[in-house]
Amino acid sequence: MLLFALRRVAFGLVLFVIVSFTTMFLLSFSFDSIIGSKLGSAANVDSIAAMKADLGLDRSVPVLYAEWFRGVLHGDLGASFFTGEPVTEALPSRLAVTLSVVGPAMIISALIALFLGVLAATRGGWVDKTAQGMMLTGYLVPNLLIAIVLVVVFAVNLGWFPATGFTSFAEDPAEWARSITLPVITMAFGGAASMANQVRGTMIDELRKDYVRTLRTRGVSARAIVIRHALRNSAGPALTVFGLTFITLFGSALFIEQVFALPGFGTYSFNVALQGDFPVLMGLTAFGVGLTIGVNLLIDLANGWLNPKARQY
Amino acid sequence: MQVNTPLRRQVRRSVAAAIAAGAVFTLGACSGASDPAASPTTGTSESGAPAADAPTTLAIATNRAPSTFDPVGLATGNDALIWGSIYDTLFVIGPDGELVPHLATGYSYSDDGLELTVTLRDDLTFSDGTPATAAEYKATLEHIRDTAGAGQAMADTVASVEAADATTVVITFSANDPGFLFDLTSRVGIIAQPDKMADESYGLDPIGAGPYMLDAEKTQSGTQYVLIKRDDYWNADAYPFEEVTVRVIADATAIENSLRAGELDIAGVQAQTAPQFESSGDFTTTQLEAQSSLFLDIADRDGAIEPAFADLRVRQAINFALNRDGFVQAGGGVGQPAYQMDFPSTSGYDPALDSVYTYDVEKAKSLLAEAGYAEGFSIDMPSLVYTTSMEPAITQALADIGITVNWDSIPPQDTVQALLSGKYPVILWFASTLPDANQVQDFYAPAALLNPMHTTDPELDALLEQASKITDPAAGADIYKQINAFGVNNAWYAPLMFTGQTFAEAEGYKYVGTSAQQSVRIESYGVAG
Repeated sequence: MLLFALRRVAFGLVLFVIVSFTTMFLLSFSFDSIIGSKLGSAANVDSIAAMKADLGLDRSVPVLYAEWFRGVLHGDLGASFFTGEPVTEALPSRLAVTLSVVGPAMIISALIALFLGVLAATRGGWVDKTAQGMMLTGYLVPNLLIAIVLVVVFAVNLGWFPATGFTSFAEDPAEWARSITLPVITMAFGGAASMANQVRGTMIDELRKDYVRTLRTRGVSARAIVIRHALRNSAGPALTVFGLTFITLFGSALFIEQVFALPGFGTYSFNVALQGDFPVLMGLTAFGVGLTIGVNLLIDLANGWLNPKARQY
Repeated sequence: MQVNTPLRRQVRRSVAAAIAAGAVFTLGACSGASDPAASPTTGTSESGAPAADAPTTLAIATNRAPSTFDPVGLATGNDALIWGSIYDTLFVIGPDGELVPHLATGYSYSDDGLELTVTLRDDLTFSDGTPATAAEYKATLEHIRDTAGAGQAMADTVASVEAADATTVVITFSANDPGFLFDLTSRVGIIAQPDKMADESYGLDPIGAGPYMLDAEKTQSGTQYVLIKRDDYWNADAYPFEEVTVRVIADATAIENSLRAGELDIAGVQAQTAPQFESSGDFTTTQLEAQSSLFLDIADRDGAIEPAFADLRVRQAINFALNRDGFVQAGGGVGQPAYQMDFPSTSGYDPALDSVYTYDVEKAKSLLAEAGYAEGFSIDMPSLVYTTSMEPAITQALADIGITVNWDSIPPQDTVQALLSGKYPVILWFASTLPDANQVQDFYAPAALLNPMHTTDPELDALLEQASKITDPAAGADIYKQINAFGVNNAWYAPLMFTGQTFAEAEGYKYVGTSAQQSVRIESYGVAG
């Protein structure tokens, strides 16, 4: 298991380097545009060259990357070209907002998915059909539409929740809960649908296996079969989908944050990308890649723990 | 007399102004995307003083965050709402487009127009309590002039700036620059704390001489800016709001939802939804008729890329091919058709020019045929992030007379470079209201952004030289009218429409800005009388 874990970590690191280097390489073609955007109408060939040299962007990409990577290892991601704000200070507050929404949305989605998926797989008949209908609806209805309907009904008309904005937990826990409710429901809707379908499928497969029949003949209760045996055995594929859903929810945060005007990671990334704030963009890339690799690594490790066969890959 | 000022000098306002105006089109209008600065008293109720039960807090939205508070990096347009409150400016633009002293008390030019003397108030202080005098203004202007950044170009005709005494600033120019006077309502008109300018944190934590200061505790950079009124500001009584919260909300629908939910007090609303606000009973509305313009810049007037454009008849044909009423209707009906480049609020505007190009496709086709282009031709145009929504209509209008448009997609950060590249014979572009002097510099000067191929004309050169000597804005109307007429008669541009904007106001609030004011200022937000 240790060797397996080390192998996955090493693979993750290599992937991190490849993706972040590629990002820097691609961004290097835009250095002139980025500096042009900072200089605004004062931009010309000379002023761009001077500022490029001043910022050290006239060096080769491998040199720039080595310096950046050294900084990453020391926890220094540089500072914004525009505001001078250190990237390591700019990210956490934005991240907290996004995680405030994605975290609860993920937990609620997972609980709904487990409940709906297991119910559909074990009961069959009209319960299964109804559950599938709900999953299909979750798939088909765009998040954006759900968000708009929720805002119009619960924020604008009923006034139960704020239409836009975010209150931090530290500032006011009750307001925090109100500010994330509608975004969390919006996100959980689609997330639960995709995960529930996966849980249902794997549960049906498991329940058809010979060992389940054997357990039944031994008089093990249906509840125990589902909870102690079938659910655990079907957890592997479901975990993979849960991990992917988490990353997808994180990615879709941009749209949700736009609709609810949340000052999160997605909004920040979007603004920074438009501005071409190079150090922040690299910091966001490092974080995004790190998150994806980290979540996948955790899933791999969990899978390895759940299923010894998986450890050989 | 030098008419031409350096290229970068000419482009600075157009870019920011157009980007601010462009946001109106692409986002459907946000409170930040519009106008004005007003006289120091416009923030009060109409009776001159706030009523006893008048609101003392204000929540508004802007569609983009200021990128920095470093004086050299300040952008005009939307961003001025926040930095203008913190720094203030020597002058502001009044409701009718006139220059109103603010941090300054007056100005005078030398006879040759190369020396501008500005007198400052003698009771100015920064929010940290230190005095703001001519020496601090000199340091601020020199910082902007000598530091690479977006604002530098606005100061590049400044040869020297001297503080003659605590309240007198003498600015000497390397070339006549009548637009500079109005630039004193913008970023070169601010006074920043010079000691603080050296700090790295200055981009986030500014110290200015304006009516408000940034509440660092409640402000989250890029998301929400909380401004606290300074009771020691020289004209504090003119500002009715003790606390102003400016939220950054990029999405126009989110702004409207926020307004409906009571989270914002005043916001610009989209033309399509404005009637809902008007009829709801919960909001009053204020409509600005012409705050930005949409037009085709026929940049290739010498025919360097597409020889057809050297022929006046071809440029005129484009002007005849545009159904301007249709453009206004497509934009939601807020605004008016534009037949000339000067805004109705400027002294260069001439109603007689509105009948030069009426919509007449047959006439356009016959002009093209006379010029030898009966079969039409193809052109490349830059597709900019701010213009995408209007491009299909342009494509159709030009296709009607046989001109095929190929749109080149331009990344947002390359917008200015694309315009300056000289690669495009025609450019779809926007502009906010500009004072006459700046309009002339930005639209007609040989080095203007909107004249990227540096076209000159002897008749225009003579007019521009006269315009460069104007030191009293009120006395220049005749010259400005002639320059505007030159643009129309020679079809340098094909104006499309002046766009308006509707502001919805919650009970107790009133938007008091006007179309004549270019930048968004806190003074535009007031209490209902």
